[in-house]
Amino acid sequence: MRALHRKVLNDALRLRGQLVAIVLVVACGVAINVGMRSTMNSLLEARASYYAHTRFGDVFATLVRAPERVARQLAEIEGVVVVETRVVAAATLDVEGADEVISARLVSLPDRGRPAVNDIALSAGRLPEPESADEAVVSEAFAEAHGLHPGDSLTALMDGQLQRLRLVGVANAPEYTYALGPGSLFPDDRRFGVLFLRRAPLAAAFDLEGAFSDVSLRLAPDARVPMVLSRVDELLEPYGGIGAVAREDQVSAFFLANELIQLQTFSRALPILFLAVSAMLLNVVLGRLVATQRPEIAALKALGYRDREVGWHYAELAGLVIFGGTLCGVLVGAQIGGWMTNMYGDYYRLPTLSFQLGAREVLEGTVAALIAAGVGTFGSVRRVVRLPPAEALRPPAPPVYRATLLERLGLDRAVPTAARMVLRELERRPGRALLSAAGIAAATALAIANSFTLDSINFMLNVEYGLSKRDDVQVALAEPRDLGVLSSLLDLPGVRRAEPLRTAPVRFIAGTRRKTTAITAWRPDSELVALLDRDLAPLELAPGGLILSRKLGELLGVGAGDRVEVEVLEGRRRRLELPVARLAETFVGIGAYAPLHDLCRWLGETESANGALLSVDGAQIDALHAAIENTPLITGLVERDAVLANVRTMLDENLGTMLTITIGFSLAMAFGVLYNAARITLAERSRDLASLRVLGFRRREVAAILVGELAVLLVLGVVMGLFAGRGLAGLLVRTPGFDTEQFRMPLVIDQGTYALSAGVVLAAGVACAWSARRRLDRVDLVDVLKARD
Amino acid sequence: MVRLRGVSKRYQMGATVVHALRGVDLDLLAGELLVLLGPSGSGKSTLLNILGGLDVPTEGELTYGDHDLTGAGPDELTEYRRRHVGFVFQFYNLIPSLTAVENVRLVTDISEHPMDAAAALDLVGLSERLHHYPAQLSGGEQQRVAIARAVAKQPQLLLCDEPTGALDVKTGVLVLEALHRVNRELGSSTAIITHNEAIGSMADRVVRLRDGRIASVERNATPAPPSDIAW
Repeated sequence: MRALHRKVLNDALRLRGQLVAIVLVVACGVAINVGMRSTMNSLLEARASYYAHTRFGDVFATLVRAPERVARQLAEIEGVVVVETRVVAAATLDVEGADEVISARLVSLPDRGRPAVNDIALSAGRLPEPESADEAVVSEAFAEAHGLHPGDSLTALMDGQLQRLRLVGVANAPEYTYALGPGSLFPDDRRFGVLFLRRAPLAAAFDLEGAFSDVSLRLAPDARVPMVLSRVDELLEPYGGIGAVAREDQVSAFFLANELIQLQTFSRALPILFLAVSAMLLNVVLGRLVATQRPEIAALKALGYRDREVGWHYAELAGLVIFGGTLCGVLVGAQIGGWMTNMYGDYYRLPTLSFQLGAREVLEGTVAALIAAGVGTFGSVRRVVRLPPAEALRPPAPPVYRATLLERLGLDRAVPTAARMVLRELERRPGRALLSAAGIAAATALAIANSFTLDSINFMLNVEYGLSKRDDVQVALAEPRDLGVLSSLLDLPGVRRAEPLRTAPVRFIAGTRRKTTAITAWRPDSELVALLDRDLAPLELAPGGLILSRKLGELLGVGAGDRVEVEVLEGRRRRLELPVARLAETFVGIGAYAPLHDLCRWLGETESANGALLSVDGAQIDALHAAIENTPLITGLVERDAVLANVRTMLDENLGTMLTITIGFSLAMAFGVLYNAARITLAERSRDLASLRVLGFRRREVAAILVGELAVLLVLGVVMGLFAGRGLAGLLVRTPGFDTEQFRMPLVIDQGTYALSAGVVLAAGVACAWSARRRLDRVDLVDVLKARD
Repeated sequence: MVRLRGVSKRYQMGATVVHALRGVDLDLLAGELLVLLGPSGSGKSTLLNILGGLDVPTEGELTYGDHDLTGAGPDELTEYRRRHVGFVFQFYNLIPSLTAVENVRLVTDISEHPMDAAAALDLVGLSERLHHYPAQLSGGEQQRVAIARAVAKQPQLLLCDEPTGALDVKTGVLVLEALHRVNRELGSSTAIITHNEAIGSMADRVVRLRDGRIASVERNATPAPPSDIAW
């Protein structure tokens, strides 16, 4: 080994603590790049192969009932390649051993063979025999939640008829990759399932023989989707079509795509943050090394080493750090990617999903780390190259200090001498102090930005299910009924109050903008539901007008006082022009709201309801479940406590992992910054501090000066980080993955999150200060005084 | 006041054992000005470090007044330095981020009966330079700040390690005058170590060290004023 290489290793060994701290930060950056992006690509690949394999549709439409011949008309639309009509219907299920009311979607399979569009992927068993009346395939997530296997049976309440079904297979379906039941935002596999039956028995049960209630299309690659959508809408309008959607708006596909967007946002932004901090640390550490090794640099040059050889020698040290960081990063990234992919697999049922460590991501991470190293070492290496040998032999000019700003302003009376040392040291190198503080701030902000989403979700739930909706149970009725239905609902066990809801599917048109959604109406004196304004104060319904959710207003470009065209997508399909009275704050979905009598008047019917909000005695909930299972009138049910419990379970299951990863990353960054700050401060100050010890200062008095300097950086950094974290979270909630039609994450950060984030960084600071103090205690006073720095 | 008996100090330097001191007996008397002379490697810095409680002897006894410091631990030695000892270093060891007067205040802040920091600087002739930072002072001025810092606590013992080692003759004399004045006006027992023979002429007593042993002790009946010293 050449002597110069030996020196690199010796330097690395001597600086091992500091270098390991930087390796950690580099490793985090590389790990996130490798782990998250490989996860993303694994998901993308699994999705692509799944969608292709199952011939997932490009356009989806639901309707009330259309004769089969309409399918031929649909097939004639330009760009349409395949048309698959189906019977899709809602049902409630009775599974042995399950107390909850289970909503199900029944989806028809062709009477023979497999669907041409939206095929299912069997994971066990087989398809139902052709035209068999009582065989069904069950969705995998639901089967797992209830421990169902081929050979088991369950009972379905189909259009008022109880039907015993025998499960012959377990499958996944591309439309239910993210299986959302009616009215939910998160999958609840115990309360929502999908059953696939042959078409004939399903059509018979729902009076859809020779007809269909759902259609999916596959398009040619060059098809013009908006044209196809509007043509489909035109054709299906007479048959109760409620608006066709493209694949990107299909609920399950939307959520999966949105998850990928979020993943992309994080996986792009986080590595940059980490590698920027690594560059900063390398800059500081190498800068310090070069400053202390001036005589060595001079000697090497005097001995005949070329400038670039000496420069390269210092770059090699950075190379070692990058090598170590990249290696650890790839290993940790593979591990994290595996965890994340498993976690995604729990929510997104992609049969072929498995984590693939991407060579491209590893290469990308390595190149990014090398760029960070280049940026971080450029200045120091240039100084080495440019240092004339003679100058290097002279000691550096003594540091110049001056009174701090505080003192120049005359506010220094109360500042003790030791504190002045601290302040002047920081003010003498404001750039370095600020960089260190910025690194600490980045760690704090990172922790906040990574963990505030939980606060945001909690807040969303509290608003939606606490302030806005105060019912215990929401039920959907098979069809609109006059308000006399409320008395039958009040007869159900435990029901204390029942309020009518009327929902009508509509298309809003404002200029060239269109949006298909629904108007939901209730009585103005309703106690179980309320709209909220921007400050979350209750908002009265507007008599004779609409209140739109803020997001819908934004999408349509309308606000209070504007008029909007409304196309009702049911019944007589009226076209209306209605005034928008106000916008309301909602975090989930988009919609419009009106008083019940106004909506019914607009629809041309007497006051009616197709749903209801119930206030229920909790003690009788099981009796209510049992009664509802036998009430054909009710086709769906959303139970507030169950929704909340499901979300909380989901968060609890994954929160541990996510928080561990998040906190681990923040801790690594904080540690990297603080450990280096502590060691460099210690190295630069040990002579001063040892002098003080000789002068009779006690250990803790001297340590206070060292720790004081770190404490100022730490407090400054953490305070900056709290603001930066809020700013970062604010940016994040405005990115496409967090501001969608389906949900909007509000910028809500609890004090606990601030405290946890600051606490993690402060803990790293205390550990580093403690380690520096221990080293300070071990400094040999006599040695320090002999050496002229 | 300070008493060394049979003091030896051995260091392990790699595979070899270095005998820095070999059985030294020495008394430092109240108010006297002692010059320790010797070539480099003679053990004078080690002796000063032991006198000042920076180091502990391998063998032998160290007492200060009636305090036995022989087996003292680090905390006890810190207290000894804090209360009784003033140090002047060859390379001044001023805190670069503090002005002259603040460097002195560092010590007055932790002393029981300190003099005023400005008065201490006046004593060494620097009353005009109170608010200058070390980087703005000449070597001689820096050393005089270091002396002011050492004496500001009114130490019973003032220990100086090559105080003129880094200075030219003219500035060196100014520094010696400051030390002389402190010794006479405050009555601190003063030990100066140097390899500069000429400085011996200002001492009450000159102790010569060679190979870790005291080679000779000379009493000087008529110490010369520092202004007469030249080298």
